[in-house]
Amino acid sequence: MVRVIFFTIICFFSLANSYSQDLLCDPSTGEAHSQRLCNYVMDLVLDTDKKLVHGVQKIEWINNGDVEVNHLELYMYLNAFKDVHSSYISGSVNNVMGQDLSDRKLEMWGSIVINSIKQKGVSNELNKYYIQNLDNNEKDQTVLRVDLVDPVQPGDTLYLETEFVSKLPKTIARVGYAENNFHFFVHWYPKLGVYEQNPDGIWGWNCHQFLQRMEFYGEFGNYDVTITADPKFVVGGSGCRTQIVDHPNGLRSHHFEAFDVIDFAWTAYPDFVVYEDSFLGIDIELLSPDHHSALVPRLIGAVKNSIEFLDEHIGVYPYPKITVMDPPALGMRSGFMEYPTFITGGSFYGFPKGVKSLESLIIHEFCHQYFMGILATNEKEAPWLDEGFVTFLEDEIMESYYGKDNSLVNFMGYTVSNSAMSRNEYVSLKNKRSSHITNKSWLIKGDYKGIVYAKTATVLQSLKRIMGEESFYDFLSQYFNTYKFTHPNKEDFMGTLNGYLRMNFGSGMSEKINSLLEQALDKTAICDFSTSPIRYNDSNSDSVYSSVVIEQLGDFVAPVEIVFQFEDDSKLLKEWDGKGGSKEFTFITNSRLRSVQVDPERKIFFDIDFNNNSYTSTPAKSGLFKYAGRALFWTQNIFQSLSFLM
Amino acid sequence: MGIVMSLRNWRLSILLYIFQLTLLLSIGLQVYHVIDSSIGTSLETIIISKGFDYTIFHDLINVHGSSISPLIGQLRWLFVLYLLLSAFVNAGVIFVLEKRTTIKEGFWRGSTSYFFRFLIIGLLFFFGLIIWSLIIWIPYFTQLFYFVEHWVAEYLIIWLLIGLIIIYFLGCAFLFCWSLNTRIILIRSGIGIFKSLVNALRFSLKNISTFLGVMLIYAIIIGGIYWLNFILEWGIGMSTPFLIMSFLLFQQFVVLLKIAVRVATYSSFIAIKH
Repeated sequence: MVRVIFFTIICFFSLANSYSQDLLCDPSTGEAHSQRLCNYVMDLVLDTDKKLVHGVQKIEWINNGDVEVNHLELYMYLNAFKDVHSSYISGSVNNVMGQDLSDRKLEMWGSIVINSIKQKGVSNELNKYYIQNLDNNEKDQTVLRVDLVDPVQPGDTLYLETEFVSKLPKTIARVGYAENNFHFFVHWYPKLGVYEQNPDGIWGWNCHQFLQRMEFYGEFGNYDVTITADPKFVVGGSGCRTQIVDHPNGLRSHHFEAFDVIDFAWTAYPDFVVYEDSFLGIDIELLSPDHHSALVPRLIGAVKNSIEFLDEHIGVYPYPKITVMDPPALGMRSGFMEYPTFITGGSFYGFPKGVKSLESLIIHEFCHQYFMGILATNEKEAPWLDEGFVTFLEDEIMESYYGKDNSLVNFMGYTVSNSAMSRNEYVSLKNKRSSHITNKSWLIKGDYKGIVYAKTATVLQSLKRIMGEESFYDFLSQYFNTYKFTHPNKEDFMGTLNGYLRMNFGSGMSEKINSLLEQALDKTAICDFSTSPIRYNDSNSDSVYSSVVIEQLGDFVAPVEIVFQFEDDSKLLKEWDGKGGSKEFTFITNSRLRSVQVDPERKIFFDIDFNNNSYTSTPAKSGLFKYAGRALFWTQNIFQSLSFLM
Repeated sequence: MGIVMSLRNWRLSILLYIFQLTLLLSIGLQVYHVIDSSIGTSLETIIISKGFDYTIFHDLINVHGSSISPLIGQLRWLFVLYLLLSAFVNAGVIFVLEKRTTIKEGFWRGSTSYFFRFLIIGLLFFFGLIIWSLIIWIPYFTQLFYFVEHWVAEYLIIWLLIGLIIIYFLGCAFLFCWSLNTRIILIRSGIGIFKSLVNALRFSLKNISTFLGVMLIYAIIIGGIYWLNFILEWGIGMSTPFLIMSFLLFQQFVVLLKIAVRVATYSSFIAIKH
């Protein structure tokens, strides 16, 4: 009887002290999707005054290699923001993502310190020291090497226990704190690198130092994280919140569980409003400041559109939940980023309806759940495999749901589509040859985004147009489903593509696409088809001699379709193999050649100038008058308005 | 009253329009030439004749930007010339309206007699406009990052911006009012620039609500004209040669109407002063 009363009291208090059940979810994903090689249990206490967490961590790691492991390598990325001497900051102190950090106060820097690290069953502290595996900057403390007392045999499991303190910086590169107690914890805990075979087949740790332009690479596993904080904070994080407990000392614990993910991110802010929805069985949680309430349908709509499109075209979203953080303006530096089952947006009060960059961003970050989260490619060594693919899918989803030609901007007849914006970002690069797409992130010079994001998306758009939409998505889905919950690389992508092409199109198509991708991905070749004016010779009254030269002004070699249209409206489609730099086409026909157009369907989407792809003997001059007239009209108006005081 | 006087002096509006068109037509012609020499024989001309295409214009600017930048440089000097000539022309226009003479009798006389004094007044107010702009916008934009990073209620940043825009335009309206009254007093009283400035300031402050009311009415008329322009352009589009030519003529009519509104504003101020 006493037990029943006690149990009833416990139940009563646990119900009374809990959030509504709606805020909780079941983290189970059914069967294990990944090998779950690296699992974390973390118990954290958030000190909002000092902007730090005290953490107790248990790591369980399985040696899936075929050799004994006697040391570990851990990411300690918060130390990139410890002072101006880290490799991330030194050399660009005056401009780190737009911030001048040269006179930053001591308390605004961050750090991560391991106070204790022990192997389970071994009482001694493990020997640890920082290593620098990309540069010789001895002051960089972003990778920690830990020597094991007891080596881990192949197939065996390592149990590690640590106590650490993570101090947030005032926000740099997303991580940090901002005014009004905004906290954002990303790359914030001692995290194991990825133990894998290098291209030579040798097992070792892939755990690079943290440099600018570099993102992340982690191993799949389960996370069990308990965050204890002041109850005034709204806390959101990766995975599912499974329990909320209020303690007698006035603090509240949020228990999160995330299965088959490569990382865990979380936020705590007192002024978030929590919006909940669900779609196709997936819970959607949006954390947004109350003055963004008008934007909520747009944000949640973008998530739903992404879920639907990716479900139909790529594969099923395997997690039970997605959390979206829409930061307040004061936390904007933490926006625009992706973490497993947790994404961040970037909006502000009164964001205009005619500009859809808000939706585009959410869709981009959601697509990262697939390309980075599930296909956990190495973002440091092959950033194009996630950012490029994601930008392409962002363009596709935007144009499917928000308009083919006006997906990004639609204002008073002026429209911009996402794919056009991606292509134009590439073609307007000042130096298109600064780096090839498949370069390692830290070696890419010039406009990183223009190359990794925009050019890759444009190349993939070309691939889709050449293969046909249905075949392309059939292939992409095959690639995704083959390599999900693993770490595919370029060879895996190309292998799947070649297999698909050979199976469905034959080896000729496979060779053609290989040649095209080799030039587009591994080289910096430029494609610019152009046509000369049409020349005529009417000396023979029965027939007309028409001639036109098609040129490749760049150094790209690609076969291309050409449409010739004659004055009797007949059309002729020919293909040029693109070799030799130029080719003259001549016709002796009854009707004069009226126009010629290279690549009429714009399949080679990375052609840097479409305007010179065609020539017509009967241009529409009215279009020129229209824009010249507009230029005159607006010059008249602006001059007249600006001279109002004269 | 101003509108009646503007209609009565329609020739003045036509004169101003021709003056402006003559000066700026070269820009329109050069834009035509640049587009024609860049993509004039491309099939893309058919696409832009039917509607806007971001990629075509992006590629045009990306590839042929060097042909466009001299035009922008030219616009700067053309604007300086435009300001100088505006002082000359406005002296003639205000003289004709104030003295109620014919254009033939008064325009040239007014322009030549008052050009330098109008130019000085214009430059003084232009300088005043720059100071006013700096006073309003420098604090806002230098503190914008601070506002964004520290203000919990970010809507205050937007509302502050809207408030500042309203205050800025009210200030501009007052400067316009003061400037125009200075020139009217100068012509009417024949006193010096400084005295005209002082008298105009007093008169403008005394009748500020009347002047602002008049300017508001004309601002609404101009807003309506622009709105009509946008609606027609957006709704009907400029997609066929006939529609394009018709609309270009309509746009020039809009410019003429705007000039007529300006003449009406001058007339109204003169009427208030009487």
